[in-house]
Amino acid sequence: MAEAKAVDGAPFRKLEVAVGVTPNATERVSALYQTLRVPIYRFLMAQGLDAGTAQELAQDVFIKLLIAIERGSEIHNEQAWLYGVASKLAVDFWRREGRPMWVALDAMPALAETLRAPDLTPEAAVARGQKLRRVSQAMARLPKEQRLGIHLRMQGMRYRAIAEILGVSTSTAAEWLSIAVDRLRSAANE
Amino acid sequence: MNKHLSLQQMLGYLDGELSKSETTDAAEHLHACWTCRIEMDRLEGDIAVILDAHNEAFIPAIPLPLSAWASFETLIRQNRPPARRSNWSAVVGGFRQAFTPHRVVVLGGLVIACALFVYLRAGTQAVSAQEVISRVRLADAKRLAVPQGVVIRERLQVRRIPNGAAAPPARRMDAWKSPTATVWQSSGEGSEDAVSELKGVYASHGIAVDLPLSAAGIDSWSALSGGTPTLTKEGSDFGLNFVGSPNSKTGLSAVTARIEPSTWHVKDMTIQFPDSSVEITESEEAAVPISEVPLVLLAELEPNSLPLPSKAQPVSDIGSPMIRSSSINMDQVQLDVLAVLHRLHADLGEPISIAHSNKTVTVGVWHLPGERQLEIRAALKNEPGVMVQTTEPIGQMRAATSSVGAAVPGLQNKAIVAADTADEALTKYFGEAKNEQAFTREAMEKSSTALAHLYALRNLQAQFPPERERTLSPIDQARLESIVQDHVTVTIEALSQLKIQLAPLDEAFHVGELSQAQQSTYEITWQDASLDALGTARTVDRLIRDIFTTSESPYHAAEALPQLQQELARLLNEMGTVQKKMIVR
Repeated sequence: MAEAKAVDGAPFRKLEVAVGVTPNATERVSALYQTLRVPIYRFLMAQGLDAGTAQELAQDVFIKLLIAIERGSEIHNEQAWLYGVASKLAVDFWRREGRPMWVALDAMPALAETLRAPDLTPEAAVARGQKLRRVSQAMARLPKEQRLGIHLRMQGMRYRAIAEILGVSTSTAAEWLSIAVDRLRSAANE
Repeated sequence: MNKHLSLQQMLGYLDGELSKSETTDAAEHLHACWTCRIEMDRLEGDIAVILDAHNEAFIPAIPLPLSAWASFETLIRQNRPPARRSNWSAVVGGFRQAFTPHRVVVLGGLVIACALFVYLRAGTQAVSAQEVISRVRLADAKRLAVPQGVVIRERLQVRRIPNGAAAPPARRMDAWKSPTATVWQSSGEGSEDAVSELKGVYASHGIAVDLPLSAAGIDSWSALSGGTPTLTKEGSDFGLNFVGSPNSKTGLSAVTARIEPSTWHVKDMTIQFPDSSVEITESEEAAVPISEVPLVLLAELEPNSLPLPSKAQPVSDIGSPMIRSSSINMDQVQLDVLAVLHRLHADLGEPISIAHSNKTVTVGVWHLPGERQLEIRAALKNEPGVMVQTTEPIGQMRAATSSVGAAVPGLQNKAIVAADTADEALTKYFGEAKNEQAFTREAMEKSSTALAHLYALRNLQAQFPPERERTLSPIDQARLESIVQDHVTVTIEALSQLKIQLAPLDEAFHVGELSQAQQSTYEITWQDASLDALGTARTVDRLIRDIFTTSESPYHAAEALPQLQQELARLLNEMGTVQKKMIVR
């Protein structure tokens, strides 16, 4: 995530946008903002941030992108860039808070029993729903670094990039990922 | 490669993260080893489950934002510097002109060289050992201040290395800490001896069992060493070192601890004795809800919080048969349960189910967080004939039971989606986006409050329809009425406030006189009247969202405000009917 460094900074500081931003860049980022602001917000919430902070940081991420484009930073994959910067903001937030971060999930009503399982018997669908709920709850209770690692891996990020965001060695990141996968598997196969 | 592949190796292989030689070795092993090949298939299957759980259960359960999204244009406007330059920015600008990039590089080089010279010459640290210890204490105080119902777990690797011998494999152990107790527990094969040995080391030096990697742990051992702390830099971490006095009777040579400066957390500690050293390294630290703590362990950590068995149990008398059930008036029991839930505000949208048979009322709380489950169980403790169920009965469909909260459709996670495409007239009226957002948030809160209480009324009328209500004793009728009245009062109050809030818009958007809402002329029960009111409240809520937030069917304020005011007046009228029906009886 070398690009992410270009605009790294204090998340709560007011971000200054130059007046001369090109309309194309603004339109492009505005379109991304419409499409990705909720996924980025959810990603931040998934790292244990409260709703207000997650929403504020999600908005900051897009302003940072606009600034980066305006400064001529080379960004190959805007979506990956956004998730990378959001992750760094989450890590900064953890460090300021210095406490375990849990994810507060809404109650999960009968969510997955019928979803995407039309070929399952009712009993199998219920069992699948329960399994997904167990894994989801285990995910919410993972240590924050492991949870972020898993989420970044799900975004297709390589170990090295994950390690850079978490500020650890690649081997440590790999170890954390395998511990997290182990815990989630245990929850799935309880 | 003869040894089986570890999970980390398998994951690395699947993710393409192994080095070339590691990949070749792993591939060769997989060709040769059926066990690993099957395990690899299982891992792939489990990864698919993890992905599904993330997409279908975890992400949808994340609450939506509570406030509206600002438009991107608004964000840019808010983050744009003011047009006029302040004196300060002029000074900054002057500095920028004076310090060109070339000058900055030269100056920076000089400063770094000077700093390096001073550092090497004086050998001083930016922070002192005492300061690091203070910070570790401070961070620990924060870390350990967990809410009630949560305990801390340090997952550790421990080993004792005799001097001059090869290091044995590290053993895993867990150290648990609650506000009242600390427990060490072996974790993994062969770790019992390691834990016993460590306990022995602590006991023989008179040090109490606490979290090993904590400020308290360091304080205890450093005090014992009697040495003055020194600080070293180990990569990005700090190393704290205490060297014991050679003449000391404690037999302690030195204590070293590694501190992570970003969190001021102790990552590992080595206690050096003349004949051996003990290494304690952290693998993971977590705050764990007591609902996830094994019962045997919980009995030691927090005996008072010991949860009841997870299967449905009579909460009034754990483990003993319910001998009073035959003489219980089930209407009364159900009303008792409703009254308790009402007192705890647990009837306003929380996923709790209530089922009743001839002998028992079963309260299902399995979707609630552990702490809330305990609160409800404690409140229902003395209610005869009540069973609290903390695990979902397998195969039981939720619809089979009546519910006090689960039927409320997403009150908590309904959110203002966006206000960025609201019509221009509204934008002009509010002046600034933040004013509009605050107004919308306030209106939505009032509407949500009214809806929550109306859904509670709906659940009450479903459990006590007129024909059942008539069979209640006068006392029980009065109790039911009291709960209904509570909901009606709060609803009317929220709606009245909403009406007052919306009033200034009438003038601005030229909303004319409203036609008088029709009083119902036919005989109606409070049950029917509250259902009517719920229908109207949903319309009001939808209109508020359509007018003030971005929705699939946005309305223009000038067109929709009269309708909103009309529906609100109708709703207040209907609530008046519910109230009147309760008073007249």
